[in-house]
Amino acid sequence: MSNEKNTEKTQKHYLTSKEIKAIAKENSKVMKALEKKKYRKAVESEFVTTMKDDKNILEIEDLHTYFFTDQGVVKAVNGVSFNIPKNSTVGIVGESGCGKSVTSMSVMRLLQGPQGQIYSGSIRFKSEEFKRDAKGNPIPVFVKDENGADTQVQATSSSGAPLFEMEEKVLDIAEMPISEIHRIRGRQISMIFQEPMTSLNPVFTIGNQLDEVVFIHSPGATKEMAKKRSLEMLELVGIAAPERVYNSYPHELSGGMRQRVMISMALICDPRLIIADEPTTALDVTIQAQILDLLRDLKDRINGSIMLITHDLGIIAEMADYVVVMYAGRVIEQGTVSEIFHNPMHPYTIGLQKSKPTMDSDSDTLFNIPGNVPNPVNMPSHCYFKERCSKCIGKCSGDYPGMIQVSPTHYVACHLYGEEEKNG
Amino acid sequence: MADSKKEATEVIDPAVAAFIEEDAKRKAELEEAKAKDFEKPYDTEALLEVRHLRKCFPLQKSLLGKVQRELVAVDDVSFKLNAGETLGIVGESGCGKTTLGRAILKLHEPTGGRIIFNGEDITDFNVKQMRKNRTEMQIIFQDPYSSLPPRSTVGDILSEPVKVHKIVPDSEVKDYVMDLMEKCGLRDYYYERYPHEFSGGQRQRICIARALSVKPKLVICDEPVSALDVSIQAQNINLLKDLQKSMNLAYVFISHDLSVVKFISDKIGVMYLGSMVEFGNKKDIFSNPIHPYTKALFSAIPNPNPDVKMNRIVLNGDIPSPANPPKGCRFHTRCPNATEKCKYVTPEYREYEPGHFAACHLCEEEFSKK
Amino acid sequence: MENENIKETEELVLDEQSSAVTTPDEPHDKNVKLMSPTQMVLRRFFRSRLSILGLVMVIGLFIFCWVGPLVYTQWGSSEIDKTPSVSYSVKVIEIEGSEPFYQVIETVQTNNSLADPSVSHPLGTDKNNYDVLARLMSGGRISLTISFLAVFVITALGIVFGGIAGYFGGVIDNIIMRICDVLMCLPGFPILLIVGTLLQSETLGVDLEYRIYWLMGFLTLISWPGTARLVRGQILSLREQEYMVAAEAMGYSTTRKIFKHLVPNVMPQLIVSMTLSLGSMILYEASLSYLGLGAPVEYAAWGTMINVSSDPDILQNHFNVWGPPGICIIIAVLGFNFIGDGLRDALDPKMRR
Repeated sequence: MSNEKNTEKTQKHYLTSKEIKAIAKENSKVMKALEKKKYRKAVESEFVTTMKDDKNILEIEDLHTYFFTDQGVVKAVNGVSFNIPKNSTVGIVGESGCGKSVTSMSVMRLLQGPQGQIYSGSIRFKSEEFKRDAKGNPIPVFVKDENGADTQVQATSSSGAPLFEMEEKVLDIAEMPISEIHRIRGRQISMIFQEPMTSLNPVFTIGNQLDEVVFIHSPGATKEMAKKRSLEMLELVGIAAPERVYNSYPHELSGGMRQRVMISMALICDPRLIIADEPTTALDVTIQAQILDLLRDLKDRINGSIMLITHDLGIIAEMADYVVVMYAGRVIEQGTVSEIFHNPMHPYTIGLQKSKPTMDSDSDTLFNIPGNVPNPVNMPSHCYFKERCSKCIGKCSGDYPGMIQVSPTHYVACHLYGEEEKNG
Repeated sequence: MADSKKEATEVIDPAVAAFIEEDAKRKAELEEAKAKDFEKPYDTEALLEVRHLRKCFPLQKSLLGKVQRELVAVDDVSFKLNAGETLGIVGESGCGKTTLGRAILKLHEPTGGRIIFNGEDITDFNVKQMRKNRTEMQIIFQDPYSSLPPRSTVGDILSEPVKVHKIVPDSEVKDYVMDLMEKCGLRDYYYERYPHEFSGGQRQRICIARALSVKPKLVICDEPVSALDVSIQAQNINLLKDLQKSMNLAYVFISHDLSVVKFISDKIGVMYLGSMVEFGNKKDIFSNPIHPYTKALFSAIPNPNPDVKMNRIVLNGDIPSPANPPKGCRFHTRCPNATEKCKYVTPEYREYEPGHFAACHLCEEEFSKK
Repeated sequence: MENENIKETEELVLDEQSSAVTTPDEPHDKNVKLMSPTQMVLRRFFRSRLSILGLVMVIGLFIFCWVGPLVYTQWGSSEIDKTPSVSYSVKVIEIEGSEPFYQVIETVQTNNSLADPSVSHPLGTDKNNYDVLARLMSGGRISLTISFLAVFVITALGIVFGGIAGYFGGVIDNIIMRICDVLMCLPGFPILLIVGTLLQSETLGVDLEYRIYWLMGFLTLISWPGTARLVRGQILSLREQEYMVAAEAMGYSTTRKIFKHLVPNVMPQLIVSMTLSLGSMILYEASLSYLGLGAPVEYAAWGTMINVSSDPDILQNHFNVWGPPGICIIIAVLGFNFIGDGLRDALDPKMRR
């Protein structure tokens, strides 16, 4: 080792204090600008846009979400684009650190500031909101009399909540100031978290917490209405004794039950999009089966889309219509579920599928992808998967591969297919 | 038993009373059988033999230290394991699989039953005797972050056990450790590094190397890959398999992931609420599962093939608390086919095919019909 | 006392957001040099300006107290300034019918007390004719020594009792913890006052010079429970760590487990609590001395020096006598607290936010 001492001295794995200072300076500059943008007062026209494709409920385009750390900028999401069509389930799959959760956090604008920031890109969401009059009050829907003229009686929904006129608006979530986000969170997009144990407030009853959501998101609801709605939701998620659960505290329920409660809480405002972030990872296999059954059942019954984030390909295969495979902050392949599972193209997707032992296979050794995910700071300019890839070609040392369309719905980011496309 | 009799007077239904009586009889028989079992000579071929192992944890103690309530974490578990074989233990959280693993190593003092290792009964070994025995059996943990001491280098971590147990002469320790590191897929310059510099998968390899540094014959793998990503999981499973071949290790592989267990094991034991509900060779268990819980467990795994329409047995309800397990068959609260008998009578753990054990009334009836 | 169980328990939480940021990079390159945990802690420590300031303050005080007397040799710490000062005043006496004549009064002062700062006495002198600067140095030595001794005794007691309670558990743990509870109920100051008076009484007859040491000794006896609880909590949480179970499975002896695996991991938290309690010990000493329980003037620490400000004349007109020791106490306490906070942040970077 002694003859290597010189090189050891020159190559330090850690940053010198000068470098740290430079990073901190640069970071604080960018962070301040982004924070300012986040807390600015904005008129609506600044963040109302139009969808590229009207069939979609959510369009993410070239999203960059960075974390400004002391070690440098971590590009957790680095140019992600995908769409979620209406009434469909899109599965996002990838290993830890690939940016799948950060993507969902960006959509909800739940990133931990000031370090975590949406740097650029757009998240277009088609929201359905109360139509408001000039004063900003929602316009109620009135019951029509025989002549078709409005009476003074406000129409009510099945659960008894008063109805208001709705309108559709396309909002760019990435551009919205944080003070406007409440228009979307919970009411339009809701989230199911991984950890049912910590996602519920331990000092309130389940009923309390469910009612609260109803109150916040539907103006004019009474206590009775809220309770009725909550019980209805608890029943919908397959809880046998909703009245008992309504009155109990989170600690009195098992993990599976809590996850059901979480799901009912997410559904209570009829959201247009549900983000399920590893909804079954913390649960046991048999309970996971219950929850998956429930989610699949609900998918048909509710009028919304699901963005399902998981690392388990099995769950994706069962639940999703479209699949987005992410690796190191980028989408490397996307397509319909059968395209991804029957005709995976990216070497990483192929490797991922082969490395999980299945119940049917009888092979003696597992396929494995060598190496580790690269360091999130200072990503190389070439394909991030190059070091671990077994099908590496000369071109891989060049630029990061662009998205190549293989079929109308199937895209892959790999140099292996670029040539073929050009020739054919 | 006193408890069950008291209840019998309260319940009027004669059928139920009969069941309770049957249960009491069964339990008495079982005790007898146990006593007989303990006297049987040790199996010299098996590396590890566990007979009716039981482990209780006190939940409530009176002021004088008398146990008032206890949690039976492992109840009446028996199996045999040969050298170079892998036993997979599957079960959900709270089923006692981790406790079983630690009880075998006597990290938890077993409450009852016998552990026979290498032809020696180690159940009553004291701390000193155990210390000598520690080189023969080792453990790998689930959490790669808390299982390595943060303030020692990899070299220190790996060479400490070698020095303590004098596996090789002091002068050869470094070479020995380097050799070991190479075997476990760790590069030589990792020797001077600290654990915090490594990712989860590599830390797990360090743990594997540490466990193997004392040349054990048996390694308890307690969810060794559950905390890792799929691609890293595959690397480590392959490593464990390679090491098994080259060092003739026996594994007790504890996991909740059936597909991983299926891949690595020769024998499989399925646990539910502290007791073994089914045990057998991998082939038998997968081709012909007997216990309804095993069947449900198999069908609960999501299949990564979107075209296969799953015919899933979904179990209702939640796992009961192990502190207060149901009477009779423990699975009866969730069993899709449970009968009245299942609610009161503890099923017998018996051999249905050579080497294939299960504990279920329904199967018993089926077999008696045949 | 206040930082019970601040350990990296949440490190296990592998949520995406944090792991994306904190996942260590794989050491790809053989030649790349990496830091040990201690180096990393030091680095983080020195990154904070406040902790560097604290370190400078404390080191400055040490140099002042121990190196100072070697440089400032003009006056010894208990050397009375006997330079007679002669002052003359002229009085005009007028007697009727005669020429007025002048009376010259020569006042000769044998001791130079309560002198204002001058070249020979940069901080002046006090009531007892001692040089304030020299006294400040020797007082600081006494203050710092006393607090260091007290903290070491408290820590030692805390490690022993907390360690025994945590490692062995059961009945022993129960007994020690109940003793702790009782001791923590005792009101420290009133008891110290009573003990101080008792020590003065004829029967005990403790030399006044050593009374403050006795008092601080007594203080350690009633303040180890805080440290003991900290140590016990640490050991209880460390015992559950899987590397301790692994050490057990490896068949290591109990002594090895305690000294090679437990103690090094308890140390960081202990060092933090030690630095933080150094400041409070200095304050204790100062308060006791101020209340008149300190040593006599020639052995006095900073606290006794402030004590003189109870004289209204000195309080009003002679800031140079009581101000400097007060400032020294503030510097010392602030310095130790800055270091302690800096160390805590450095050891547990996640706690900062």
